Amino acid sequence: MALRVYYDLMSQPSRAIYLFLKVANIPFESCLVKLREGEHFQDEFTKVNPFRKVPVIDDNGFKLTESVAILRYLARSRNVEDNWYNADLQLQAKVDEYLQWQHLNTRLFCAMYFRHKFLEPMMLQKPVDEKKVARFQKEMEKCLSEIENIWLDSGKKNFITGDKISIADLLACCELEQPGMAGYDVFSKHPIIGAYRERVRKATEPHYEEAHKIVRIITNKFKGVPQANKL
Amino acid sequence: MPIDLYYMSMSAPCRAVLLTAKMVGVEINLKTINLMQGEHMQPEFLKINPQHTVPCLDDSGFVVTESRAICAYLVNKYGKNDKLYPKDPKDRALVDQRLYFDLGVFYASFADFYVPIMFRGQTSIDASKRKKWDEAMNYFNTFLADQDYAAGNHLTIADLSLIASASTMEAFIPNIFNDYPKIKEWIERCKSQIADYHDLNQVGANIFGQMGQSALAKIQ
Repeated sequence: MALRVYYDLMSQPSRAIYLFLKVANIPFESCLVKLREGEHFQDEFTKVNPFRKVPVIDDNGFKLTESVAILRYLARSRNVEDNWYNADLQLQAKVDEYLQWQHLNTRLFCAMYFRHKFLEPMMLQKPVDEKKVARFQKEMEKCLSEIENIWLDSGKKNFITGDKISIADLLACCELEQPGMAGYDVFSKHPIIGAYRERVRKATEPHYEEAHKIVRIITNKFKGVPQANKL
Repeated sequence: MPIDLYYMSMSAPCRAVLLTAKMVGVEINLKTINLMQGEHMQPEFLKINPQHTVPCLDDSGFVVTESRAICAYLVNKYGKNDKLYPKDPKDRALVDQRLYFDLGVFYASFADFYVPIMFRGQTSIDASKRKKWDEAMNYFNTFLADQDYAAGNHLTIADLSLIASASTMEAFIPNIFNDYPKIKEWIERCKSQIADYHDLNQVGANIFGQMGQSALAKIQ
């Protein structure tokens, strides 16, 4: 396989890449990196990505990190449908607008909420820092309102950039699925986002649930409570 | 002078108000209250509406709750004419009749059915509640047998209230009106006359429908 993809489905941006590859029918070689076993810190992987993170791709020798850069690169270099990352200047700018906004909004707050409410207490076997969690939850909720009311125009828009699904939606939903593992179900608490997720799921089935199979297992197993079980 | 409406788009009664405001031609300032997030229980909102329901209208300090009362108020105060809520006692009585039918029978039987499933963790279908809801739909279908609109011979706030309810039922269980052809015809008839119907009503109904269908799928 010319395209190697290093990923772990616990990682939101990894899921977005995986989902895009499957939905756009791009052949690739799966290189799973088990984050929970610290594989990303081992020499074999740091040779691939000195940043010690996933996702990374190795496209016939061309290495690339950063999920947004990877999504754009795959959309441009492969023969995919227009809607994913339209070549039109303004349509593309609209996708970019979300991709840029999400780093310090959707991703930052959903990921930090998950980290402090569930991941760190679980991995480090320490109590939940309620103050930190409350702070991130507040910011996360503000973000979710902005997604509902602004990005999705109170539900009037089917997808972030309008009528058609794009890479922005893949990244958005993968990030939005993370807090559920910490017990915060974004989709039932924010029905406009819930309806939106259904549309994204339908547009990418059956790959969406495949990409989220680990998320479902963790959510059902722990129900948001970081217990002393092995992850 | 701003007219604030505290609302949530998935709520049928809220959408009846949105449709009425649009038809009357009055600008309202939308304020979203996410009930799932408990925003209706915030002190600032409780001060305005101790009953913590939506929709809630705040017309420069004059507060009105109860969607059908809000719809009536908007027509009474801001309507260029009384078409949507006729002043003639007999005509008005027919509109009121259907507004109360929606409140006490049509939407009520639907709410009795869906609330436990969607919000109280009920894990089975209550056949007797489904029966009551079917009866209500049957009554409405019968009322429409020899008239084109819910009350009288043109669109009124009774239709706006009932279509918000009916579209929500349809989003919850698609094809629910297959057995009630008069309701189906009436929906199409009304849709074509209501400005911005899709944005103001269908979008919210679909959001409700998606949530409802998820809940139903879990128990079937």
